[in-house]
Amino acid sequence: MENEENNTINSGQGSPWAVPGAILISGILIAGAVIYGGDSKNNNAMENNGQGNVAVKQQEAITLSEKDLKKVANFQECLNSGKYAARVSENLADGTASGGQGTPWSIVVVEGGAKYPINGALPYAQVKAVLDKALTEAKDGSTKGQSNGALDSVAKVTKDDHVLGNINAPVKIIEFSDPECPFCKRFHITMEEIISNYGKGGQVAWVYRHFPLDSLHPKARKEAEALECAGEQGKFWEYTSKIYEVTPSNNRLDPNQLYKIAIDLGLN
Amino acid sequence: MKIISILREAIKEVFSKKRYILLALSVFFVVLFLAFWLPNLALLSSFFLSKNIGFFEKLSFSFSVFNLFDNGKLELSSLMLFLESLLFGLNVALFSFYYKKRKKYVGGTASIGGMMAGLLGIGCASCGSVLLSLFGFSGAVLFLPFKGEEFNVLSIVLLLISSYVLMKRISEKSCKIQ
Repeated sequence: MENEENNTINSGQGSPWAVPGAILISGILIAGAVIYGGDSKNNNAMENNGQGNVAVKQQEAITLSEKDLKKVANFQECLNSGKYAARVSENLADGTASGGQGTPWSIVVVEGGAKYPINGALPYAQVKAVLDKALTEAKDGSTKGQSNGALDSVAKVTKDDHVLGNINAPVKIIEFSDPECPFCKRFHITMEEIISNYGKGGQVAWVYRHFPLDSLHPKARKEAEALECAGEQGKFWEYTSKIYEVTPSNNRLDPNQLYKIAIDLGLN
Repeated sequence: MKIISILREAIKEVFSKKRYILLALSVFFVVLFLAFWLPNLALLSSFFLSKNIGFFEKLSFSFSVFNLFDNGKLELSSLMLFLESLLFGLNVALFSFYYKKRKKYVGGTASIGGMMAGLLGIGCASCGSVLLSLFGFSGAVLFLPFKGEEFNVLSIVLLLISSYVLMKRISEKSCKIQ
């Protein structure tokens, strides 16, 4: 029969348009799947541990006038003086000594008892599980006097620390963070939710310490000092939240943004 | 083992969302059907256009081209195409997830390479690869030691590498000290 040759299985012959057409269709499907598959929201959005998207706005260059800078003259002087450089370095050394090998690095401290490491930007559910365990142990004293290896070298929390919540809380989360780290940006939101849920009763406090990764994010150290300068004027936590909100991370924050945030928060 | 925890972490993160499961499966089926149906397109179309063959017979025939077993023996080339399609779907889902996270990745070269090698391998070994046939080089595969199966193996290896690299990147939760 005239069609026999064409009808054998695996002949590989047929309409000349079938093959390129099929490749084109599959290529389009796959490209479409890659581009439009997954989140259909804004391409600039970044996942936040599945808790919703944090929009990262495209950064426009920020220009500040002399008049703008005069509004935050004290803040500018603080930043330029480098007076908090030593404190940032102390925090970094503290984090490293306690076992931190990256950011965010957090330690959940049960007062007088166990210490639990939180390595990286763990999702809310996992942090909650650790906190619930710590709170139980703080209440029943089951881990009192426990040795925790390198974690015990972390500096004790004092009034000189930046503490959100009750400084005498039985459970404290000491977070070592880098303002240019994208994971820290994500974890900051998780921590805000943690404190919102656990901080009200005074049982959990959030302690922020600096851990700039100089080799990855050279701008981070100055940004850490900026947080300290804002803290000098009583706006540490507001400034910290703002910087993590606006930073595009990965060492891309416009340095002028540090002054813009200060202006927006009413620093002088 | 660290590798297992990386894989578990990444799979958990990506496929906790149904849309990525759907994406992986959709791409898997599209590639699978194209891989098995493409070389048999003429036969399949004449079968489907025939008025003398019933609907269920047509359906049954269309699935018979998935000849994983030939006289009770596992067909290696069919198995490799099946694996390729599976890995292709997995890669697209992982790639899409990672792309959405807007990170720099290094797996792209292997991923795209794997996908392209897979396209070269699609089509039966004896009739030549689909893409090469576009350029009139389909017969050239006959001179390869395994008559074109090399493309399938290469594709599977590249897809496995890129899957691992993507999963490793996805499972990262922190910036590390250099």
